[in-house]
Amino acid sequence: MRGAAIETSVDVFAIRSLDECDAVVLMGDGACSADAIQSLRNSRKPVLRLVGRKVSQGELKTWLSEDHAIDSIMTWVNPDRFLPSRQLIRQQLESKKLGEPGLMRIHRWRPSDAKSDSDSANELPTAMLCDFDTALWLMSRSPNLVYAIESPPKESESHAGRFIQVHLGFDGGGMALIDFCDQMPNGDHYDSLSVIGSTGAAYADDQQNRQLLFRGGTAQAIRTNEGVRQQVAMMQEFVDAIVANRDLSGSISSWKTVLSVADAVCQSLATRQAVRWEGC
Amino acid sequence: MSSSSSKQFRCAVLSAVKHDYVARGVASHPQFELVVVADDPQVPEWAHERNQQFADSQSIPYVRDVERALREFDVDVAIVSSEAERHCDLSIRAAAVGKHVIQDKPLSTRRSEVDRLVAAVEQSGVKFLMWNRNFIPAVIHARDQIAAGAIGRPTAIHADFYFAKDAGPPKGSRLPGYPPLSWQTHQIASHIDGSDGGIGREPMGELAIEGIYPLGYLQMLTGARVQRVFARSTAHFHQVNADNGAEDLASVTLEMEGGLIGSLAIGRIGAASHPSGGEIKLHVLGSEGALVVNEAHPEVGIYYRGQPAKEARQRRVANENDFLLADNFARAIDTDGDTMMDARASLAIFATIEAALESCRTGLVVEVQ
Repeated sequence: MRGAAIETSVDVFAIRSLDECDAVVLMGDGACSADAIQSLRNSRKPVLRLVGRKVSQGELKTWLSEDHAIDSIMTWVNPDRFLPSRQLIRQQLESKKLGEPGLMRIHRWRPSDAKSDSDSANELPTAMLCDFDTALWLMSRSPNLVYAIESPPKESESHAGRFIQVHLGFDGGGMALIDFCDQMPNGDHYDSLSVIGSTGAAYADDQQNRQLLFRGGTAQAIRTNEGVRQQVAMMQEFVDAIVANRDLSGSISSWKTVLSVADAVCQSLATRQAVRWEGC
Repeated sequence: MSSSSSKQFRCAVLSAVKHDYVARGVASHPQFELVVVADDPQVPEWAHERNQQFADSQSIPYVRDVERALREFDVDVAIVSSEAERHCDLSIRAAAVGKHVIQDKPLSTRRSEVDRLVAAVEQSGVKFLMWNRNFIPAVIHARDQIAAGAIGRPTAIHADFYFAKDAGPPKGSRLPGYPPLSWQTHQIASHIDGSDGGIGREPMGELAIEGIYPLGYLQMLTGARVQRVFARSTAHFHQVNADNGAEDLASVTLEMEGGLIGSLAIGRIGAASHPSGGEIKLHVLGSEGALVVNEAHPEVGIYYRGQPAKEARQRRVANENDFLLADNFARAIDTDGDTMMDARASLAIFATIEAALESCRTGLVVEVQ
């Protein structure tokens, strides 16, 4: 890490003293007790929180409202933004090498045993919130039209879960297709992201990034993971922002946008019609 | 595979002004023989020139009278590869005199013509095949995996169908004061590199021109009819598309029979946007698993010093789509069976595209009629 030393702990309250720290990063799946959160808020230290699988749509909405109300300096991040593949695509878009983003496609397929306890049938999976954030971040704008559809429930089948597909339209003609599934057989997952721009395209695809393993029978396709750079990049940006005294509360407004889009998705799912998104 | 003792089919090529790969593909099969090229006398001179060139390349006559060619050359099959707005008319005229029809895509530019075609084909009892890509090796592989139950019951299916090809100058390149680009002029000029799939007076976007290919995949792999669609589109890459109100990038959400959900992402995205001609992929989710298929496989990478920039680095191999389509058509005639994509199946795809285009215009979910 540049400009910071790190002390780790599995328990917020086990840190020798919050006064001895300049900032706190809550890693993992986003779960954190209310007492711990209050203690961190009281400390007035910058806190980095991940929107992870243990954070439900409703909890995120509540926490963001509370943070906003008390002018908290908690920073919420979508960890996917810091994947090396996503960082590279963002850089190519920012440098205009890919031109104007036109069509983005995200597939996120999970095994049914990866379902989180926080997932509710009435809310969207947290992973989809991260995908919405990724889409808005790469498209650099918010949608104006939202359409969503979900597979009818099939609890009787081997791998019960959900399949949700979201279709976003953007001013100027941009569009995004995002689908989520947690019905896969237990085991591996699949992620794919493609961005088609007016002068170039980017493809970050698990199919391409797999290695073959032969152990008799059909070969296995083993994903080549993106390593620890995701965590390093996340913390480094946090440290850099603190050092530069950048406003850390901006994440609250961007997540409010994501949650507003999520509300439009839920409305579209309920009405089976496209929904105009007018903003937060 | 058909036996060598099966009937030989004599084929009239009714207009070869677009790609001639359909006629050449059919002729690659030993049961089909091209015997004449024909077109209406009033077509433009550039069309006559192309027809004559193709006829000369095949050492067969070119006749400026469609009905005479169908009547006097003992023809069994008509192969139609005109501008899209004339597809159905030529096919109907061939079917009316009892000729089986192989037609290039797209089906048509008008629903009324499509309805006339379906009626004419069914009334005459001839076989009809819409040229398609359903026998591409990777698509057959996907079909076999699904049929064998490898992923259980399909629940969602997605197609990415991007052609990494240019279509004239980029969007935004037209200088102030210059007139809009003519669609037909551009398409005529594009014949040289085979990117004239939209040739004709009427501008057509990628959904209309190419949509039949990926929707054909979905139709074959699922057997499910599309019931509702939501779509977005834009002219994102090319000036000729922007000037003529024809999209070159589109996305479609498909609601299909049995609760099956699908999606299509399609576009002519520019030659720089993929190393080997375009990303074409199928993602299929099922009740017991999932399948991710790269439609280009199997392929071989070929790289050498001085290689022209426009030459594909990845080359498909073992692609027998043309031969297998022709064989499928021959068997349908021989056995009075179904073709891979008959008139009704083509109509279903046309209706899906028609609904998608309406959804693009209105921003609403549209029922497929």
